[in-house]
Amino acid sequence: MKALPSIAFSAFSGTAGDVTAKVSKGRQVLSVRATQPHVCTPSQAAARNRLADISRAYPHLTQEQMRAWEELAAHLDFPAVLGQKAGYSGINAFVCVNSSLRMAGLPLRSDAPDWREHIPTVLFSDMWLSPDRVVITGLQPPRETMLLVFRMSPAQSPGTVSAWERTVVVTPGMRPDWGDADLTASCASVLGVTPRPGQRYFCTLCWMDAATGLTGRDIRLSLLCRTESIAGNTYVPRNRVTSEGALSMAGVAGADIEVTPGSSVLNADITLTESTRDGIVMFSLPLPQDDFLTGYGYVVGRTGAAGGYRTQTYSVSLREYLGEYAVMLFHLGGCDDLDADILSTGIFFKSDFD
Amino acid sequence: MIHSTGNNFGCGPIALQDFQSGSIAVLNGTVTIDTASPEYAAAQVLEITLPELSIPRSCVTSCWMRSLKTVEYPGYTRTYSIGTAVRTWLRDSRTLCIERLPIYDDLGSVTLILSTMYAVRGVRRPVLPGANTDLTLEYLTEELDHRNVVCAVEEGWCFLHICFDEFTSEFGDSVSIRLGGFPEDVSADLCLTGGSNNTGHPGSAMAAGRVEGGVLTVPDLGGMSKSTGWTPFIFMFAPRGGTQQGNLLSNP
Repeated sequence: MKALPSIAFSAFSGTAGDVTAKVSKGRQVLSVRATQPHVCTPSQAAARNRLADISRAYPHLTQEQMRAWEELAAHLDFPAVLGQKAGYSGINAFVCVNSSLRMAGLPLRSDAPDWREHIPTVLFSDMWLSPDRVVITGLQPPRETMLLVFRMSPAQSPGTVSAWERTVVVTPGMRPDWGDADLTASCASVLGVTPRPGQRYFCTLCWMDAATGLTGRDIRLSLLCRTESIAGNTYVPRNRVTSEGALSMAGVAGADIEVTPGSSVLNADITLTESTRDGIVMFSLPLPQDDFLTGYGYVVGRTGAAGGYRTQTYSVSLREYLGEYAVMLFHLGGCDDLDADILSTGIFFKSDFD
Repeated sequence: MIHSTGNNFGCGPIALQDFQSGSIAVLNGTVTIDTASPEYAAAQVLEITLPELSIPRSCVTSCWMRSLKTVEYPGYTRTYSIGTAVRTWLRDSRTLCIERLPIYDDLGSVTLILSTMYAVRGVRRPVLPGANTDLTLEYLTEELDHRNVVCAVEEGWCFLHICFDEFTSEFGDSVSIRLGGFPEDVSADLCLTGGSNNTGHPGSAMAAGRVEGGVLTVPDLGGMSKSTGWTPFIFMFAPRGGTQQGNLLSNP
């Protein structure tokens, strides 16, 4: 930078071009003027359009609906700005609630939800934040309609002790799967990278009620990326096999199989499409590096409406086969039409298939 | 034994044998529904309210739904016993839900047969290996050709699976099998299903039966037979220690 004559006095003060000079606390401060680059990422554009769309819908509400949103705004817990709690209007509440719903892919609402509805904070039993996985377990949704909202931000430097205001939405509304929220893929997708060992991350969790769009109070976590959980536990996967990431699928449209621990019980949710060989369908997965579940079970199914709802029974085999992890289904009894659904809890026997 | 405290399909009190633990609930029993009742007609999902169970909810599994269809032929009539599998789950610890599949609504009544295991998911503990209990089948009626006999006997509950490869019967025929090695403290309802169904209604042939004191009895096979593509089978979970008389055989 060069000092232009117009501001070249004993103490610089004023603006020339992009440079502003001022005296602050007895010290000379020069700063370059911030300019709006007018660069807009696709997600920023989507967020701005979302807010604009929702705002434009507000004037079309009835007077009664607007009054209800005003009442809700008076009771919503908006963040304070500069230490002072600002007053918020009905349109603020309308945009706040509906943008949450829109992000979660839920329909917008014209009627304000009841402000008296209490949404508890998130309770969970453990969490892993490691390069391999971001998983929360033991979540207890207070109601069926509750969705988990998870935000996260890496610390910009090792000394950063607070960056919750910089967190980005990793999931705008995830329904826990039997108490589990596997956020690994979402984190990688949103942040662009997997968590780095030793890096600090700032995370917030809250419930959003899908029925109302209201969210509960955030809980804030400051976590180091490491292999163990925040409670110091090693990750133990569920005894579960799904067709997600299958190397090959023949006769199966989708499968989700889990063995209930502490028993010899298997639950299978499998959609069959056709037989590839005589009564046999299968899909294969990459062979897991660690211990994996092997054995066989028995389940029932039925053909679909087109197949006349005929009853069936199958055996399910989980094993290593030709260097892959194979799930095979063998038709045993009932109608042998394999265009069928298996939704069954059955029996499971472990086997090493020696 | 647990007794329902209500239902949404116009049925009276329902009694079910039960075994409950922290991760499973085995229920066995029968419910007969009048398909003409307005409560049944209004129900989207059939719900039975129960005393609080040991598991908070369950994943979806199946139970049996059965009905009778009478067909008139020149000079005689035949009553066929038909049925299918319907989805069932515990929505919460007090509510048993069953899919409402209206395929037999025109037949007057349907019977739901629960011989079902309800289980939770998402628990991280080692799997305990189950063991197959070898059974010997001694036919007290005409011998059938069976295969895939699978039996698991656990503390409090058991599982039975049998397929019948060769199977012919006349109307009024029954089948009775002494199951050597099967626990004698099981007294439970079951279904023999999977045989051919030529009634024009959906489903497979399905006959009601019962196992008591180690003897499996299906008193009326309803003309069930194996044919190409149709293999009769039994698939049953039952609590152990039940001594009460079920009501399946006295209901259609």
